[in-house]
Amino acid sequence: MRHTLTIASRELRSLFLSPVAYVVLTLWSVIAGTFFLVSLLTFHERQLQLQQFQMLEQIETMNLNDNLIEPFIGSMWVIVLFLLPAVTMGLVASEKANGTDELLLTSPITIWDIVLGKFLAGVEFVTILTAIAGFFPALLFHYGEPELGKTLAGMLCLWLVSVTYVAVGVFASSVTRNQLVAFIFTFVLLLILGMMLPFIVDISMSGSGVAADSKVAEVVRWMATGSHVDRMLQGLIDTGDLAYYAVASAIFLVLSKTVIESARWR
Amino acid sequence: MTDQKNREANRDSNREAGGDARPAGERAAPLAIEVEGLCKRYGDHEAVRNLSFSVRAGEVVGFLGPNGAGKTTVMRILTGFLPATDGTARIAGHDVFSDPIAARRAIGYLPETPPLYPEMTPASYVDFVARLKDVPRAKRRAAVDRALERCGLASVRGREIRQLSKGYRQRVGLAQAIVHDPQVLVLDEPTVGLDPIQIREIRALIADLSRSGHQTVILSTHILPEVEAICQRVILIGRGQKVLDQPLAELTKGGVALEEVFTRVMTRDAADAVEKGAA
Amino acid sequence: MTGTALLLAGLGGVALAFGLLTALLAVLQPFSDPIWIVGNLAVGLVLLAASVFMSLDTLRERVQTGASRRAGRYGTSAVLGAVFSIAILGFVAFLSARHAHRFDVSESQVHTLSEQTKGLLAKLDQDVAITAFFAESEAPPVRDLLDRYAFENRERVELTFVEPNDAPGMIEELGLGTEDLARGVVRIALASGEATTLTEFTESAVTNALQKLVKSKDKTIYFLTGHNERTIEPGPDDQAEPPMPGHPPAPKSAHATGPDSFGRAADALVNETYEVASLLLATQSDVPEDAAAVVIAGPTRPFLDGELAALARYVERGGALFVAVDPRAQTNVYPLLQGLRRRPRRRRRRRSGARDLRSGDDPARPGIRRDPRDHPRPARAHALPDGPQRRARTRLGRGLHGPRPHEPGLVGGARSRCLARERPRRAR
Repeated sequence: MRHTLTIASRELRSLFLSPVAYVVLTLWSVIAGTFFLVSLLTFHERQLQLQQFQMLEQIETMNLNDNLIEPFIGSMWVIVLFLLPAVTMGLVASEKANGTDELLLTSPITIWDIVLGKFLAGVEFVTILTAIAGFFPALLFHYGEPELGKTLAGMLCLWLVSVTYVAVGVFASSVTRNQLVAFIFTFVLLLILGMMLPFIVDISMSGSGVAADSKVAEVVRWMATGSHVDRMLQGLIDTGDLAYYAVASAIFLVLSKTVIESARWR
Repeated sequence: MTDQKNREANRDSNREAGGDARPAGERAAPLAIEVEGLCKRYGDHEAVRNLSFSVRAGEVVGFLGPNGAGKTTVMRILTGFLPATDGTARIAGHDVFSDPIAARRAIGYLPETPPLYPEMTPASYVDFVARLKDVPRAKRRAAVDRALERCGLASVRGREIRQLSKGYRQRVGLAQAIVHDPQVLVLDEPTVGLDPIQIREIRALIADLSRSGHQTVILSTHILPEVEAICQRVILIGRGQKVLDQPLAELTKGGVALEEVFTRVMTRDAADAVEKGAA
Repeated sequence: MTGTALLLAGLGGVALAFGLLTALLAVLQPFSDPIWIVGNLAVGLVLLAASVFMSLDTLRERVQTGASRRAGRYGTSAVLGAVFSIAILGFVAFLSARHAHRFDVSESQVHTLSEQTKGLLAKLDQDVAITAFFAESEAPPVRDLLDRYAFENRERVELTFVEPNDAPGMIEELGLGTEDLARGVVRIALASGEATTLTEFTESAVTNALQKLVKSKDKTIYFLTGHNERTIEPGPDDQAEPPMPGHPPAPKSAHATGPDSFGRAADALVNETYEVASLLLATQSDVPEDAAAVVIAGPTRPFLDGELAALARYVERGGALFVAVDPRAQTNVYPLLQGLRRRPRRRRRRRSGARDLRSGDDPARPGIRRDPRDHPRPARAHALPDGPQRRARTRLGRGLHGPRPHEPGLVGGARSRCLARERPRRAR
């Protein structure tokens, strides 16, 4: 545990000594700000429109959570998918490139210390990302009265998705010593996990009628991140969804551990 | 069958070499490194073949051999970076395979290329390693300062490692290896690629370490004068096998230069190989 | 392993993976050509076998010399350990999906079914198949709603989504019209064969439909008539109320809509899945068996002895009575109530549900207000289930768009607790 923290804090410090972290943070802030502004303007415009047409019923049901915060976070987790590989690509790959893996593997620490340390550093980084994204919904509390519970559930969801993706990044980074390869591999894995899986199901499903709810489709759909996001964004916390994030992270961490360990016996 | 016999023979020769040549006082010192029947294969290639030797605490041993002889592999096995295919290795009494954490705690290791994070400073880097190697919190600061001091890094401790010259980087690597005051110091070609002045500095440092400390040092090199300058004992390996294991004093007795011995041994070894291949 | 063997192994692996992938796709879509699967699998296996055969010498040598013995052991145990851990994690995931708990953190509990629906689902004694004919992507709110039903009782309720274009046979078999299909149809079928279809997708509609299918006996609420009570039946002078501006016209009601009628209350009860009927005790010797409650709303004429006796018997056997009396009215219902008041108050519960029936602040409406002067008061307030009070609470404040919009939610007593007002969700 002590070693895990040691490795995590060193990794985080190195991350902030390199330009990558700042580039990602800047991009993230700009994108989050833009998206939020767009969501806000869309919300406002729609409200004006409804008022103009006297559609009171719809105005009544419009609210900050469902019509602004939810779409905002719903697009931010997709941005994580694009930005995070740049941060995680170096986590383990750079150790191999530097030759510092030899230091870590000959130190009196376990491989779990290394894997969890790297993971923890990534988690700390995405916590910063989530906090930045959370700044915008927090602004709304000053001007309006969004629901706290739903907003927090949305932020939790964004954080959990990011954490899961960090685990994927650790794994992809441990497979290779080349950071570019790690970047591409992470990106491909995240694309499959985050976006492709439901498409694969849908494409292969079209024309097969009722099979849409077959067991295989169910499992494939379960594996996709997207199927565990919507409920939580809407303020419904399902322990099954929480378990998805935990299990997915754990699986990729186990895989990373095995891959790093394999240097010992390959 | 032949394999086993071979191993036994090896062990005997080891005992002779290690034992008889030593003054009576040193014989009592505990064994810091014990290696028995070590083998390492990479696929078809046999990098280390049935290697056995032992080093007593406080000794400085030169691990000598031409490039590709398997020196780095042996050191990596000793430090637990690679597993041996067969055989055992013990560091300060801890088996590196069955009790790796304790064995690694007793070792300070400078790999062939020093494992440095270019964006860190020597001070923060050595501090990081001290944490990894379980230096107690109370003593950590002092240990880091001392390691930097001894390696002559006090003046550059706050600079980024990437800005340092190669000689300084080598020193940072060395500081990292000694920060936790290990019982055994494993140095893989510590002077390779340095200019003559830097080489002299590093050698002086190692000599100083072995003199002032109680550390056992095992250092690999293919540069003969280096061995003459600092080592008390020489283990010569060629193509993964031990060729010679003698105290330096005995080896160069009667004014024979080490280089001559080295060349003689290596050519004999090569001849043996040719013979073996023919048979 | 030699280079050639390695190449063969790689190619074999790719072919095998491709074969397995097509096999997976074939499971999902039975139309794909089996020759692809078989061919790929066969080629993959042959190539792998060839590669193994070519490197057989090396392998044998390695095994014999004991090379990689330790490394092999290490590697095997590491890989096995990883596989084992992942299997356990997969099992954990499976279990957690099966035994999930849900926490609704939204302020107005929009993701939670009403107690009424939950109770209905909990009491199901046969399997229910809900089939939604929807383009799935177009109907997330419906999916969410039906999903809640399926989640609430995972043993009994099975939810299936069918893309209408994909199952023409099924649609023909069920006789669904194209007009309905354009809007989407939900079919609820019991294991016993009874089924119903609905084209309105709110919790109350679905629950109502389900309730009607599995109707149990004691679910009728009787409104007593014959003593000039407020009625629920539409009279000749009943006129449809003009809709409020900005509102859709009120759904057509089978009940009275006049200002003095109890039609709104009846509508609300129907929404809560009760049956509502008028009861003329003069023609019946007894209150019917299936009565959940009898409502006596503002009688102004005296009761016959036989009627009072019937009511007393009904109360005696545990029936619920809801009496609202105008203090100025001439009625002989008090002795019945007086007798009841001395009785031990078993099963006497008052829930907010009853309070909700009050019709605002309008003193002209009889409502069911409790009189400050002790009696008359309802002898027993039967526990009416709580409906969720759903109102969009969060709304951008004045700072951004000026005055708050009109709040229609509180107009009309019955409407304020109308289950039907599901909140439409953002289309995705």
